[in-house]
Amino acid sequence: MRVRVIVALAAALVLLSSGLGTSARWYEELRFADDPITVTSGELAIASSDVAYRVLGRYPTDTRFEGLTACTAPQGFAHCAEASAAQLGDFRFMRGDRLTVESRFDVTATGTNLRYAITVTPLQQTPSPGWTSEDTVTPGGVLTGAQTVTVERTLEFSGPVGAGDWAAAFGDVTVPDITVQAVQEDR
Amino acid sequence: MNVNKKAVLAGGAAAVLLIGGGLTFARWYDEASLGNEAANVQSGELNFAIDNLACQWANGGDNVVPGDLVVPGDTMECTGSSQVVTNIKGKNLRATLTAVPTGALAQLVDDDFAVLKATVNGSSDPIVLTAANDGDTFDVGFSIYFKEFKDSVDNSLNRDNPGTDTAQWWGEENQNTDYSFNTGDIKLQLVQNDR
Repeated sequence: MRVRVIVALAAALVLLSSGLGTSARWYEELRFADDPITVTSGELAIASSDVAYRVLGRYPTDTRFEGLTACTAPQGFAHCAEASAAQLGDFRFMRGDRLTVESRFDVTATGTNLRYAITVTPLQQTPSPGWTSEDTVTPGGVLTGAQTVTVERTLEFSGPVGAGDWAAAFGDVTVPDITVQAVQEDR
Repeated sequence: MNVNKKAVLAGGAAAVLLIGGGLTFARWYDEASLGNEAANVQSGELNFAIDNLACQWANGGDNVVPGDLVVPGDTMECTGSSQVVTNIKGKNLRATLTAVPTGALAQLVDDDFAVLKATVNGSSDPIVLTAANDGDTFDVGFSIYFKEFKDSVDNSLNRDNPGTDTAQWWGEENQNTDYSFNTGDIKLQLVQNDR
């Protein structure tokens, strides 16, 4: 009796496998030549500084300035005086007066491509009723390298004045702190 | 009386049981060699040779060279430091060339202040090589980018509010710090890509 054997055939595949049987990626790695490279980062920092107060008045005869250290009054003002914080607290401001708060500080800036600017945190609200405030930075704009910067906050009193209304002609002011930043410029 | 004996077998292929020496029922089997042509299969190759040269440091713009004081946003770019000749053989082989930091440079990258990239023919874009690149020569170098902001990838990143995005500012971090390294800290890898 004949035996018939039927074997199904399919495309035969032979897999090549590594000796260990794991599927690892191929890779090659080499190093660049040894060469010591000196790299140091720079710095941007502001040194702390005191503030100086100056009061300016427009009235030709003004006893408020007696006993204070005089300074040169700019155009439009009749009197100028350097004042300490304590003297400032006792000074009775009148309409038309100006109070300047000035700070000079050193900026350390080292970095081959370092460019920065000095900014002043703006006041969130008017310093006191009847007062306006304006900040200036000198030098302004984009700076490079070490600088000595002057920030001046100018406060002007334009409070209400009526004939004989002397009580309302005097204004008190709370001088807020001046906060400055040195910020690197965008690339 | 003659008796005609007929053995009637059920239809289908007849089956005959082969019985081994004992009373064991063994399976049927057969074997044959398939095809009559030898299949020639060889594995490919992936490696490269490197000819190390001196760094040519890019200058100008946002670039700094060794000895400069670096600040956020600077890039140290060493071009043409080496020539690489690739040996890539494999029909479906794709591999990427990357730079991997070790030593002091690895610490700089791990601290997230810098990004290291391999540059190939002056470009830091990832380069994928195939067998079509077998035998090619590339000018290979590296670039180290000191991040301008904490989440920077490079200086071309457009920011909506760079002046107020203070959470990504470095502040006083990383100032006055020694970040010296050795170029030998940089490994150049050619790695097969995922399928």
